[in-house]
Amino acid sequence: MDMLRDKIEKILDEVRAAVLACSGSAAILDVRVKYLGKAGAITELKKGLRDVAAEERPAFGALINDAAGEIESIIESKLSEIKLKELNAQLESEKIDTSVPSYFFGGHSGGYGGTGQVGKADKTNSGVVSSGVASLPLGSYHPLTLVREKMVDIFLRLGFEVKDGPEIETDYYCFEALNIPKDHPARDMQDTFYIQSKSKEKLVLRTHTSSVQIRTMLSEKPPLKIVVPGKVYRADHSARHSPMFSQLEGLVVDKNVNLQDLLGVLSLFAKELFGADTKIRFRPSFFPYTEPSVEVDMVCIFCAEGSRCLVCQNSGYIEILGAGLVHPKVLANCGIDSKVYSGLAFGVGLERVAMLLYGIPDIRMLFENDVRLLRQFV
Amino acid sequence: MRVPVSWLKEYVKTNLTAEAIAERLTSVGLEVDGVEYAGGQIGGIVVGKIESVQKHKDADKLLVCMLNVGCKDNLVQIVTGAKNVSVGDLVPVALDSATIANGKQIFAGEIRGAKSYGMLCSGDELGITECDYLGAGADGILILNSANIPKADLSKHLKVGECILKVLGRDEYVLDVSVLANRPDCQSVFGVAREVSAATNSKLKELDVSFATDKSLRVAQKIINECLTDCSSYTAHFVDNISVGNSPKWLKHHLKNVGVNSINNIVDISNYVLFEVGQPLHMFDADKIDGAITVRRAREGEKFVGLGGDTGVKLTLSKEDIVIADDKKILALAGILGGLCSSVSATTTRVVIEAANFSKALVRKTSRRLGLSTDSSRRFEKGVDNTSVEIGLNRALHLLQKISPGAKISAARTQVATKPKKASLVYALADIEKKLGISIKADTQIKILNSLGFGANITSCKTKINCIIPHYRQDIETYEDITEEIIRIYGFEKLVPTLLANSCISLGKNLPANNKMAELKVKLIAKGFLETITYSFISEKDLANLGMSADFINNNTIHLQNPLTEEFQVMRPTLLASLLKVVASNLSKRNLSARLFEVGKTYLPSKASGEKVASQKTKGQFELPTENKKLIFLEYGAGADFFSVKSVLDTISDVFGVRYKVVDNVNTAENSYFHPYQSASIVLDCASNKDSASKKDCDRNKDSVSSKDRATNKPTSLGTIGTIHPSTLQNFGINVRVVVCEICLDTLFASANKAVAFSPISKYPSVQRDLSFILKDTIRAGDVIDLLEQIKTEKYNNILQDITLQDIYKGEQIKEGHKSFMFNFTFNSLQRTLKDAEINEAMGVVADSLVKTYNVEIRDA
Repeated sequence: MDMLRDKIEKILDEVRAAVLACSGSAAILDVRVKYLGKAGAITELKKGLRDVAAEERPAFGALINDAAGEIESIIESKLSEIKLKELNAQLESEKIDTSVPSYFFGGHSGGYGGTGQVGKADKTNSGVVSSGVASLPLGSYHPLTLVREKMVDIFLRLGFEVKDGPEIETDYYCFEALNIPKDHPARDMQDTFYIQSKSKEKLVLRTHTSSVQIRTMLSEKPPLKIVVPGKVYRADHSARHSPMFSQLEGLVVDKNVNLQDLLGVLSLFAKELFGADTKIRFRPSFFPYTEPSVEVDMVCIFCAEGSRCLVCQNSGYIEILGAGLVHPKVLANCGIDSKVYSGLAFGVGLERVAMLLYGIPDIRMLFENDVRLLRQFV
Repeated sequence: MRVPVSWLKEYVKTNLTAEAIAERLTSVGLEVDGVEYAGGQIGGIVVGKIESVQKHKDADKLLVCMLNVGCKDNLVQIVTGAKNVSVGDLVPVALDSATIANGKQIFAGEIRGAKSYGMLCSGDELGITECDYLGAGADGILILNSANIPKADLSKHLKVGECILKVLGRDEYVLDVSVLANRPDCQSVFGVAREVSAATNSKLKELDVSFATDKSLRVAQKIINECLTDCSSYTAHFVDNISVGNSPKWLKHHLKNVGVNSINNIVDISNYVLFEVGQPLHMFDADKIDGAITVRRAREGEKFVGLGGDTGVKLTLSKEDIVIADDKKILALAGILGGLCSSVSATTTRVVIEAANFSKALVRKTSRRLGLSTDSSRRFEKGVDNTSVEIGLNRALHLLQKISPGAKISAARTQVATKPKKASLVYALADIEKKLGISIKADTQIKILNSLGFGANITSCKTKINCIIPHYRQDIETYEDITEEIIRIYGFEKLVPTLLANSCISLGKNLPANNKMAELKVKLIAKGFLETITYSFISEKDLANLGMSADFINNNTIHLQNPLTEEFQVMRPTLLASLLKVVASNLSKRNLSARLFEVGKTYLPSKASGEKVASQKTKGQFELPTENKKLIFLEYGAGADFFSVKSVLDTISDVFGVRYKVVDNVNTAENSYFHPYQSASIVLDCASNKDSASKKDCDRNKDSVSSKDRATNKPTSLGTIGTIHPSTLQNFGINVRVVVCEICLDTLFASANKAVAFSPISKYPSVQRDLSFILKDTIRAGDVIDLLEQIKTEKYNNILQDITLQDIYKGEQIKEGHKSFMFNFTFNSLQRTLKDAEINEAMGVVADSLVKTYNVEIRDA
């Protein structure tokens, strides 16, 4: 018995020494085979049990089994220690520079991130190829789209319905039905683009989205509450005027629409668009299709104390849109009884608002589509 | 329009400053764009009297003057190089730190050792010419007392030490007023004064229009007004015994401040009345008129020499122009320009003075055609009324007698179409309240209307107001017009914002197409596309650059009648040219690559465009040209890639649930801008879509597209995709690859069939199988996929889940003209774990079909 104990102690010492000497998980497994395997030292001891007296066998067996358990645990503990080491080494080998910009690993798509070059095949310092999709830079809305969506959103919340209509219009919808007389300067070739056509009816590029007012009033019955965003055209080209620009037209026709409603709708519109502190004022104006007509000014939001304001020229106000109550003749042209119904209408230029909101100095920049400008609106 | 404040104050009593008047005017609708100081930058220049003149000790050409500039005990020493000064002269003296007209500052200093505390000024240095002030054009210093001021009056007119701007009538503020198109009555100092009076509640002084006629005199000339519709009123007086000379200072100053040069007292009067009353007048030298005065249309090609420059302005007229003529020649281009041959000169002693009302439309047409816009034409264009014609004429005659006291005035000769009638209007107080949303007392309304010249009073029932519309307010027709008059004077600031409190409730609603568009744009932006917006018009050259022939362009596009330039001549039939131009311009700015997109319309002539739609009764219903909503997206740069763009097309296809197919050979004779081997047309794939709803959409789409397509059972076209042809790129000056996809959004949106619904997910493991085979290079992958999908649909829909093309290989081990495909098949069942045998069987069927249909050689199973 004592002899066995000594043997076991010796084996355990050997195992401890062998395990200590191991540096990799493979060597450890060799140790396990050497002592616990088919021809292992412990197995040999177990085989030796046959020679032990029957009554002593259980005690001897227990001693050997304990030794086997001990060896297993020595190996296991070393094995997990080594595995942890190996894992840590692997992780360390996977170290990346997290500050490298994502576009660098963009593969093909990285070419559109502004670097002007297409990604290299082996753009990795980790063996893990980064996916192109993840590093794809965002595109952007055109500033005019941003402005239009902002405006449309405000009017949707106010319960307006969005409409649209043709850009190539008849003279009737663009002018005549809107109470713009035949000899009105707006109809001059100098201001309006005419379409070459052999037909009798003059076709024009609509000069305002107001033509859709007429189309809607003729096809639908009041109450009406619509906004019409769209492209319009006038024969003018300068830093402030573009031959093509965008408007958003609004029209409400109902039984009790009045000038205070116009003020209410436009006040909320201005506050939502330019900020909660925005104040507006009405100034008398003239449009053939509204009466009374007003110009809507916003208290200049750019004026800084003491310096000359380039936006409002120190007047303190910025003109933002034209509006009014729908002219009774316009209602009559659309078969709406102006004794029963009244209407309000307004039209705002999107380019001007975009220029104000984003500080764009020249309207032409909005149509140049320089990638460097477009990317600013991501 | 320039309105000098001192002139304004001759008619309206107010102590308000120029700025305050400007603010009030703007708030009542006469927008004041600016308030300008007439003196400009001039400052620190005063009247000085030369007390002594000595030669400079060290310079022969310089004089040293001692001047009295108002401080008696302290004379100021100034050195001048001018020769025209002598003791006793009154001269403009720019003192130390003064500013002269060109903005230059004058400082005290030393000239050749002699102190000089300023500078004596010439007319030029004060920004004036001979016609502003006699002597201003002289070589040297402006001698203020040189000209026609009598010695006795000197001290009255010129005080030593006085600011020079006062002397020149330039110590004055001038308002720059914008007059609205409906307010021609405000195109004059008096008209603006009337508004100021109403806006500031101050009294308006009447115009003095009194003059004496000499009954013995008659207008020698007969007046023949040939067309009363062209000229609804024509009046002339004959004035004898006038003396042409210089205008008085007050008249010159006012004219200078509105920007008009003084010519002589007679011509100045017509200009003065033009600005003061707004009525254009004309003076003819009576001795230069032969026979009767006729108002008529010019004959086509008739020649006329108008006033302007030394030799006049030579014009060729048309029968659209109204002229004033005598028996032999044209005297004036009506309402626009006087003639050289009949103009008033220094020797004129008798004039015919004309006041008329010419058709605003004709004056405008002539003025535009000849490119001739004058103060007179601008007023006629906006319109004058016949009563104002008379007032203006009388005012001129009053001034004529005042300035040229011996002038004898004949009775008038007049031709008037209709005597102006007094118009009146009755409105209900309730109507005004309904329009405004607030109630304004009847008394207040009457007061406002009367201040604007309306004779207003309340009717006996107390609920209505009766008002007489003044002759100069032809814009007032209905109570809505009155509403505006009342609220603009009462003040818009008194309105309280409300939110359609008495109207129907409504829910905001966007157009379905707009919602879809928003969805589309979000995806494109997520894919890195930048949105562009380009002009709807392009040049013929842009289209020619795409390969279109001149004939094709002429017959298939919409042209503008009056384009701004050739660049903007054609309404674009495609978005491609616009975007290629954007690419080119970005490349020129070294923006070497990008993904771009635009959503916009293209325009095509419809055959019947502009023709009346027969079934429609409503006015203005005409067949219009076709406008199609298009989407274009592209990738440009060295790495631009067909399949990178196609993947975006797939995204769009997924977003809207619209299946598509590509068909090769997209280029046609007129659209040959694609790389012939890297392009395709995109058509709706109706067949592969089992969904009945979507099939219906397809069919409906076919209906809407064209009857011809339907008849030939041609698939509905969705758009095109491809690499742009190198020759086309060269036409646009592009030196990198461009891959483009253009899609018809109307078709896409109409076919959209995206129903979000759950389908069950199998809990059993799926099995992957690969199949490689060699086939002829000419066989399209799409056709192979179609076959595989067909097998799947017909036989194995319940176990075959997915078929994907994994690899395409050409080269070693593959024979010439062939390629190898590898497909991956995913098998899965919702009910059970699949057995090898059934999968093997399916793969066998697949392989057999491939062999049978495309004669492929299976590489391994």
